Amino acid sequence: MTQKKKTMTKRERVVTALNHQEPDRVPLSMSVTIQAYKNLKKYLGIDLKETLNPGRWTEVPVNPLVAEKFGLDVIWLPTGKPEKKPRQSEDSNKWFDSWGVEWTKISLPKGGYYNEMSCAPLKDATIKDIEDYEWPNPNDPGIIEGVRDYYQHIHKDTEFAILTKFGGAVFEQAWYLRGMEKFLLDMVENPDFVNALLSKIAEIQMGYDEVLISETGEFVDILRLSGEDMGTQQNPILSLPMFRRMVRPHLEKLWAFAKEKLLAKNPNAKIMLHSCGAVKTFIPDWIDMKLDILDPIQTKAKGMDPLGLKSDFGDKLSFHGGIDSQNVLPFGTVEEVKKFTKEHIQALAPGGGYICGPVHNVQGDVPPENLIAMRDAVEEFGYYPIMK
Amino acid sequence: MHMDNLVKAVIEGDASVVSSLVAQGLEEGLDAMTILSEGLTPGMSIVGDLFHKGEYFLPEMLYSAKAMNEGLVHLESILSKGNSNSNANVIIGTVKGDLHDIGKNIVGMILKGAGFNVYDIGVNVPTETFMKMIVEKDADILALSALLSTTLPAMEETVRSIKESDLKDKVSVIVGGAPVSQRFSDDIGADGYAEDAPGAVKKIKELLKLEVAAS
Repeated sequence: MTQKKKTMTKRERVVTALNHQEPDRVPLSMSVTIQAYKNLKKYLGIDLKETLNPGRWTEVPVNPLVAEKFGLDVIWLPTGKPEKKPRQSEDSNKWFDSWGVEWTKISLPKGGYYNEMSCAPLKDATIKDIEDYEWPNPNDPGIIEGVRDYYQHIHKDTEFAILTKFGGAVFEQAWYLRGMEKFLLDMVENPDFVNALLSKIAEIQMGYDEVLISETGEFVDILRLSGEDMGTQQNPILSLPMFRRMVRPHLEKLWAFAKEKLLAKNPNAKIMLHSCGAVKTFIPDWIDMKLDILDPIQTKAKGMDPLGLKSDFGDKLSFHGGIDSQNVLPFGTVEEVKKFTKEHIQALAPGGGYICGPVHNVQGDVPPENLIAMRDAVEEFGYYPIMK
Repeated sequence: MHMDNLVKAVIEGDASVVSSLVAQGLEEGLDAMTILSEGLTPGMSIVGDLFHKGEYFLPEMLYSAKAMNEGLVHLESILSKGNSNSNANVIIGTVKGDLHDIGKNIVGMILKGAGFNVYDIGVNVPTETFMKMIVEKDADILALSALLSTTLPAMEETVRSIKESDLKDKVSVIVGGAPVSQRFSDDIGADGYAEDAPGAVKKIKELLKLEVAAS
């Protein structure tokens, strides 16, 4: 019988796991959309008044009180908003982000909403237009306002490991700006444009990393290099040779820069890539590019079987996520969620190197009972040594 | 004009060669239907196979589809006067609440390349619009797409409404998209599911009892 006793703080648990050692228990992490967060708070009976400012994906930061009551080990912290206001839309359902991409709020069939990209500002642009475009400014003072104090407070006054994102995507940001079909076609017929656009975006993201790491780096445990989705449900979006030729050089430069700055501030910190879909093909390259953690391990996508990932890459790469959000979390029973979580802990957790959590931001269709079931499974099956 | 060259140009995605070969074929008196069924369709079918096998990826497939479209431009006005090979009309769209279109667009292009009359009615489409278009376009197949787990209820609603209406014997409904599975398709009463674009061609041919070429 395993003795289920916590012997580590939340942060120690996370740091140990990410150093590929076995902590006391598998750590738990989660990001949520506004609707799922409201449902969870209600379910937990937490009456906490707070102003929620959802991001692009309607995700909201989890308040430390909620994170504590739910049982998270990792807390995702936001950064500041730029002082310069983005372009305003005349349509109240539409808004522009700081990159000039237009988004539209779309109501979902069972309540809540989602933001969808509705206009790509560079869809007709040439290489010359890239230089003339009004790019976001990483040195906007709003970006760092209050950030250092808040990160320091969470680091000093709570046990949570801090996860954050500064400079965001490069490859993915390029399709937001260009439109996905157009950008993928560019990769075949207009490689110079692709190179110019990716260079420019990487330069800006590097700016954000520099400013924010310098403000907060010593408090950051995990830096998420944002969402570079490179897989569909069935296949990689692009071939490995095309990735190596056109995308890797830009990411490699950005990741090396971010990692060096971050480690100078906190030698225990790790960098994490979020890349959805069937992305196994790219993993050896990402490891070669000094990646520490891969998120979200979309285990229902082709080739993303957790046992295979662990045996092929588990000694060099840590995994974050894995609990299916396309089917099991929204539509499964409590028992199915527990069983799925148990199986993923057994596959991914031995030897450390695993932080359990949902694949991607929890959507409003996930019943709070299922999130509790995931947490309970971590508590029941997540203590080391992991039992088969 | 040699058909082999046209097939090759589609596979390589060489839009200007496809366009000029199709124009040349018509000038030489080749039938538009022949150019479609022996040139563009086999070309896109091979592209679909290469994609399915993981030798082509989205960029290459989109590039070939663009080239095929350049060829179709010459043929569409002629073909619309007569009947196309399969004589089947397909309506394709993304369900209400879902604005994602790349998967739907690719399936639409591949279906076009396979010789179906494809009517792409866009994204965020309410059930009533699908039903209206089925009647208006005399559709044989309705192809529904969804990317989000949160919009699967809309897919279910559309399928159920059609299956409970007079249209149920007229049109077959196929479904696809990242969170969609064979099990979900069965649960909501759809007539078929495919995991990718070549699979959708095969499924439609099965449903319409058309000959499925051995691949």
